[in-house]
Amino acid sequence: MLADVMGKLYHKYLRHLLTPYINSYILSSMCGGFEHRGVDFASLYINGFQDYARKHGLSWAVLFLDVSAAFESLQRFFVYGARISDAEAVGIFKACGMMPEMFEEFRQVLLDPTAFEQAGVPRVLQKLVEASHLVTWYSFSGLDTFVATRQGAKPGDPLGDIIFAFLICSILKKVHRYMSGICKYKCAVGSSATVLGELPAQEVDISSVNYVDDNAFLILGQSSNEVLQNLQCISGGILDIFGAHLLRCSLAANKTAVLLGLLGRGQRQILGDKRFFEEGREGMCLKVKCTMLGDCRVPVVKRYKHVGRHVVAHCSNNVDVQQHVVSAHTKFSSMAYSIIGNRDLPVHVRLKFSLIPVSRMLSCASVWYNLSPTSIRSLDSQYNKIYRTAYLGHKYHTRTNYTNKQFYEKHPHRNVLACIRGRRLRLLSRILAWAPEPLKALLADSHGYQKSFINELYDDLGWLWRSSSFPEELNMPDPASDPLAWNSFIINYPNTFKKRVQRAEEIECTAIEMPAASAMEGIQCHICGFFCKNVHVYSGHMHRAHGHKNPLKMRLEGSQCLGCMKDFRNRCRLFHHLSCNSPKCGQYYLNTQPLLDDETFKQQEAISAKIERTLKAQGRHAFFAELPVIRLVGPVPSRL
Amino acid sequence: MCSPPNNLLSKKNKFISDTTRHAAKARKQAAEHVRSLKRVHPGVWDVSSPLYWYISNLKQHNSYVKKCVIEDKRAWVCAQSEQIVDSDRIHNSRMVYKSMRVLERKPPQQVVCMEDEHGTLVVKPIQVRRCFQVKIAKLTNGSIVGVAQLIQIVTSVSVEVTNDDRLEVLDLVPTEPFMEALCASSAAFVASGEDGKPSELFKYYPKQMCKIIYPIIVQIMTNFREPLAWLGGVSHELLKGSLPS
Repeated sequence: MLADVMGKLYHKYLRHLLTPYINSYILSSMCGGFEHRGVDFASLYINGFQDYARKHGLSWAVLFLDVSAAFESLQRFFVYGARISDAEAVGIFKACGMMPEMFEEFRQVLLDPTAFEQAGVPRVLQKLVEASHLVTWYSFSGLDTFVATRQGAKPGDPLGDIIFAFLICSILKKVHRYMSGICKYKCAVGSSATVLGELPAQEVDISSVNYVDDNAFLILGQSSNEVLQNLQCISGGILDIFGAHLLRCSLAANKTAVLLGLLGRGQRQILGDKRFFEEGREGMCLKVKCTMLGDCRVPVVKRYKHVGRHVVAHCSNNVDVQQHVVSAHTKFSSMAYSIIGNRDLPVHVRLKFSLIPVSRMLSCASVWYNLSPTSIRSLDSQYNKIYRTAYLGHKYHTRTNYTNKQFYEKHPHRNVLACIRGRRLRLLSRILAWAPEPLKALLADSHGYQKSFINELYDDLGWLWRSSSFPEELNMPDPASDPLAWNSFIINYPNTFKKRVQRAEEIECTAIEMPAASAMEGIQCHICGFFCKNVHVYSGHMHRAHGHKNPLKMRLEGSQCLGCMKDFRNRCRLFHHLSCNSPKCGQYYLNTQPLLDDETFKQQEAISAKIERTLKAQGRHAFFAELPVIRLVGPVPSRL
Repeated sequence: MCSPPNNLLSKKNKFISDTTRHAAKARKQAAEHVRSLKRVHPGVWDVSSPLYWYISNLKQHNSYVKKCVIEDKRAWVCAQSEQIVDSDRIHNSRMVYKSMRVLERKPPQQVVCMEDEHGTLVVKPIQVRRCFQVKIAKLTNGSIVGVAQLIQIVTSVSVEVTNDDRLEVLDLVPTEPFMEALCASSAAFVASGEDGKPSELFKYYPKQMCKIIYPIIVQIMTNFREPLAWLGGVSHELLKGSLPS
């Protein structure tokens, strides 16, 4: 969307006038770019919440909420302007297609003061903003008609996100009031002296974490029953509050979801509780009752991608690490031939371009902690592969007999752990400078708890202290004994601190000593006794040495899954669905589908191989398809 | 006010050098010739055929063009890498990203110059981004109207303003130096709107542009009404351009 630059400049000025009001109005857990709060803080809130629950032995649940077409559905009269007439209110309500039962709640919201009034924005400024949004229009080049709208934030305009932030803040405040009436349990954290400085002892209200239109609602409880009851009740209420502001929530898979961390009972036992859960098309779902949608179901997930990060129920970042390694690999493969591994280009050029997949891979590294050996090994191998390609060329990086240690000696560069530590330390300086007090208190509370983020940060500080010449130059104490001295140093001299971190990173130019894979972790072939270090090697061995074929592959024909009646567009993607994504569909195939005859099997394999080759040449995964998955016409067979 | 020099818009792809362009042209002619001969003499062409020479000629053209394109690409990568950063700031990946984006998306660029009414240059010509591609367009709730209807709708509505508001708004009117600073903070290399004024002009010549924009903003703020053009925008898919020589 192209708008006049002069108009944008004027709107930028209006935004500048509105900024002080939004800064004082927003909640401490809103991280939409205001008050220097970014996605890293949103991620830390959830990390801190999980750490708090684990430390105090509490059950928890997170409701991730996705508002469909949030910016386009915003009703401007909730944010500013005069009251609308009854006829207009009825007309707008009908046009939004809401259930008639919601009208009473909608009417109540209309009677409340607007978001600008709540935030104390002066009347004149309100009118100026109103004048900028009287009637907005957009068109497409080549058309002589326009679309005139009176709702929605203007896309691509400096006022777009700030208007939305005002509305979402007023909604979240209502949600907090509603939740405080139901949830009795809150995080009680903080003390006079913590590792992050002096913080007042307080009850931290982190009922929600917000990043622009991504919302996560956090629930704590002493027992799993308490959490589930609260969750069920709150989910309905939240949907209604959003509905009363004429914002619809999408309950489709991967949009709105519930993540559970319950103590006491096993996962299977909990999900079998018919009071709360029932089996749906997307697996287990939480039963929710609300005025807006009646009886509805919210999918229960084991992981959810929130603000660019995979949040999982257990304390591990392995899923997120693996996802970033895979995406870096995709980027790396496409660039390896033409740029990074092209020996006709000078080395310094190749090294510069190798930073693209590396930073892609380490983009979330500052919030990774408690990394398992598997994650470190996977990160390190991918990282070294990229550097080897850059130094040696794409044809030669695998042919050399260098060990990692020799390679680092020959071509010194920072190792992956130093990169991660450096990023974490930069985040620490951001936390000390900009993090809101509740977040600091939440993080400081878990200090001393063995698996907490703050422990990892101060370990990194210890690494910095040991590896640099701090003691001689600045007479700094050991961070383990006096963290407060370090805090004041980081706050007062942020640039010096960053330079020291960079220097410390550059010193770490040796290969990481990885623990050897234990012999107990491997698998032994039951036919010939050959020892395989993991399941992938084992399957490869069984195929090569004993001619075993994958039982699922021997039953697959075409690209359509008969278990869930969906078309996956190619056979490779269907195989990935059956083998990795949907064990139920995989089991359905194994139980019901007959084996293909040899000729058909060979044909199908040839088709798959051709697709794989084409995709590999494009730098894609074997299970990539340009077109999305579509639902087929017909009943879904019973899989139980 | 802003006009792109016409001679800069002829090249389509900035990666391709003139040598390659000529080679590609020659290859195209050879291919067309072979095609026309094939139409006249259908059938299988073997070594003994008199037309064999044309095919081998076309193959030579093909390999030469391919070689030229690879060389051009290599030269472009080297040129881009020189612009990134020195080796001591090698870890600034943002710069690399920026360069890579240039490499991947080939953003067409052009030179604009500001002229006064007598046709003399007011500021030096500067390099700006010319366009971007719009892939997805999302329709929202709204009514589809023609130009006349749109003007009628916009003129029919207004904000209720009292005399107090007109007085109070004077406190909010920005100062001229502040507007200059705001102009200078504009982003470079972003697409301009329907008015054709690129943001680079505001960024690099804030003083001159502030003289134009400041009276307009004061008038808008005191009248509580914005121009129609500022209330919306147009989604575009513009033609690709080339780097100025």
